[in-house]
Amino acid sequence: MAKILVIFIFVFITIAHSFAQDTLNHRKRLFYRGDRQNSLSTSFCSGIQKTIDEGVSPLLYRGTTLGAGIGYQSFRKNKIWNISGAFGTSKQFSPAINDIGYYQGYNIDINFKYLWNLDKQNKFPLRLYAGIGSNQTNRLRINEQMFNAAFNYDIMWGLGGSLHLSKTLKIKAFDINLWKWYAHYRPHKITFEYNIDFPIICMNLRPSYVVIENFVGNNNTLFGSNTVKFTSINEMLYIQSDLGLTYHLRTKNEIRFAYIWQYYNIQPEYSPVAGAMHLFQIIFRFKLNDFDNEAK
Amino acid sequence: MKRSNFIQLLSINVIALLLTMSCERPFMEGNPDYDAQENFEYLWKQVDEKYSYFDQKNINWDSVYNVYAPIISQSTSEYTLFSTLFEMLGLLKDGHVNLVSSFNVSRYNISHNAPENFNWRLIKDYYLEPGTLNHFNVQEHSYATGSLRHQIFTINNTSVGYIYYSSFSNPISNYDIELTLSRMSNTKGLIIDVRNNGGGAPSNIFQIINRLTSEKRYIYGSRIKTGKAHNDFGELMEVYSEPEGNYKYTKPIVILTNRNCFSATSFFAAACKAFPNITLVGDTTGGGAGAPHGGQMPNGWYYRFSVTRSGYPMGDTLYDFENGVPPDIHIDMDINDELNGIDTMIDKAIELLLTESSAQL
Repeated sequence: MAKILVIFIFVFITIAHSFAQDTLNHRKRLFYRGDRQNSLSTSFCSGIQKTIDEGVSPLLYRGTTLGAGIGYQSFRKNKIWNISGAFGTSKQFSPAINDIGYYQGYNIDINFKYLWNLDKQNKFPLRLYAGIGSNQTNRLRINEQMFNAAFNYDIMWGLGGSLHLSKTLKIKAFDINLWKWYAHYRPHKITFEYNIDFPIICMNLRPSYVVIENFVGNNNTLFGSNTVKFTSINEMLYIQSDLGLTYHLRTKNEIRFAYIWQYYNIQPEYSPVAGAMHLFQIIFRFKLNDFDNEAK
Repeated sequence: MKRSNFIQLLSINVIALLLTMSCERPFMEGNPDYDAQENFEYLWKQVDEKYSYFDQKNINWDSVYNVYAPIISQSTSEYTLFSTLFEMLGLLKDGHVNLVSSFNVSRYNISHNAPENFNWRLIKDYYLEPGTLNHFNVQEHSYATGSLRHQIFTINNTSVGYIYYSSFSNPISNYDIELTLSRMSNTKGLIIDVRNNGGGAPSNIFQIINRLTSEKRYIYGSRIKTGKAHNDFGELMEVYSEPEGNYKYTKPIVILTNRNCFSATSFFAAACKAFPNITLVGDTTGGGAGAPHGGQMPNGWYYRFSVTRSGYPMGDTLYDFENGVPPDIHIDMDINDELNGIDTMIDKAIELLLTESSAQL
């Protein structure tokens, strides 16, 4: 964990400084619409994933995960909408020394949110946005030692509230003078951001772990779609939050370094499951147009 | 930017970070440090709540606990624990029950004390491949179409087809089965030999049987264990075969079975009971009518056992074939025949098909 953190900080600082000395690029960007800031992003993440699937095992599986994603964000002074998708893979092991198996995991996430500015008069010291968020989360796992229950999955969709807090600070220019090495650090902005999604209406799909579907017909209902269940926070808890630091480059592009925490807990009658992820993420956000209101 | 503001903001972020980093811990207690006794209890309870054949097999699982629980203590070695659990699970007499550790796999011998009733070398030398030994003087080598091995025997100008399918784990494509059956189009009858087929993917059952019928047929029904009590089962799920594919073989068919036919092969044999043109010849199959459920014990060992029941229609009821599908005509391999290169069961099948063929004339 500490190693991953150090690597990300190193990568972040290195890239940030290499971009920071670029001169401002005044070329016209695509899709110019001055009332909003449209941007495309690409992200990479790494961290720890944990799963305890009581339908097949009482053990907590834990391992590292790697992923990448893309996204699109449209930011206006009073509204933000954001869509992003990510794919990741993981290898999780149980703590049992006799365990000859492991989970090979695949994670697919699609998130959408639409937020409104709650503080249009700027009365609070922080920017505060709230709105609706939709999260589609797929956790697929394979443990070949589990016979007919080798394929495990938690497929979740949630619709609920989303909150976004941010505060932008300006870093003044300063000089660094170390013996024969001299550098001038130009003024930049950094933004601290915090997002949290808390779905209220949920849908989940879990295996019954009784692989009978293909015994009772020629229909290989791989995901057992007949077990899709609509529920709410009483049976399913699903939270996703991220804490980020965005570094605004002089090119108006951004590099964002974030810590993401995700937790879900599904309690159907037959096979409870809980999962958590701690991810360190780096996002490169490329602005598609200039924005009249730069304050964020 | 004021330095105090920056520090304040940074502190808030660090606190939020630390809070979320360990937030899920109280809800994800998954590292129980179980000892041998607790592992025994765990597996016993899983079987008690989920296994589907206690009543039919007349097993008193509570008395099993009373016998085996005293053997296990907190300090029991993993080898002793494994052998005890091996013995305990053996009482279920179910080929779908296994316990897998890093050093051993428990299993139940489904063909215990049953005749072998199968000799692949004999079939190859005397039935499938051309040569001086071949009983039918076949001129062409047998076909190996996907996972299906097939040949045509000619007896007194009458042709009988033969298909051997060794494992339902080997997929059968539409092309494989249609080519094989269309090759049999001029035969008077067909032998489908599934002896020593230990099962596999049930989807392959339908690849075959849906091409042996021209009408929809109720072939078997299954119930899934839904509650913790030994007889808590869900509603009956009825399974049908439906005509499929471009070519259908509806002439007389003989299915050859032995005791090593298990799981999907027993389902296949059970399904064939619904077809008036199919006769089961040989020995009772090894059973395996319960679909298995896999899982893991706290010490990392893996297990599986049956959690459903299945039966084929017999009058107004369902005949549960967990202990095997009985043949319509029971016959075993004759040791003297075997020494003379004769497969008693194949010859019986040919005799039946020729009799039916001549009766139709």
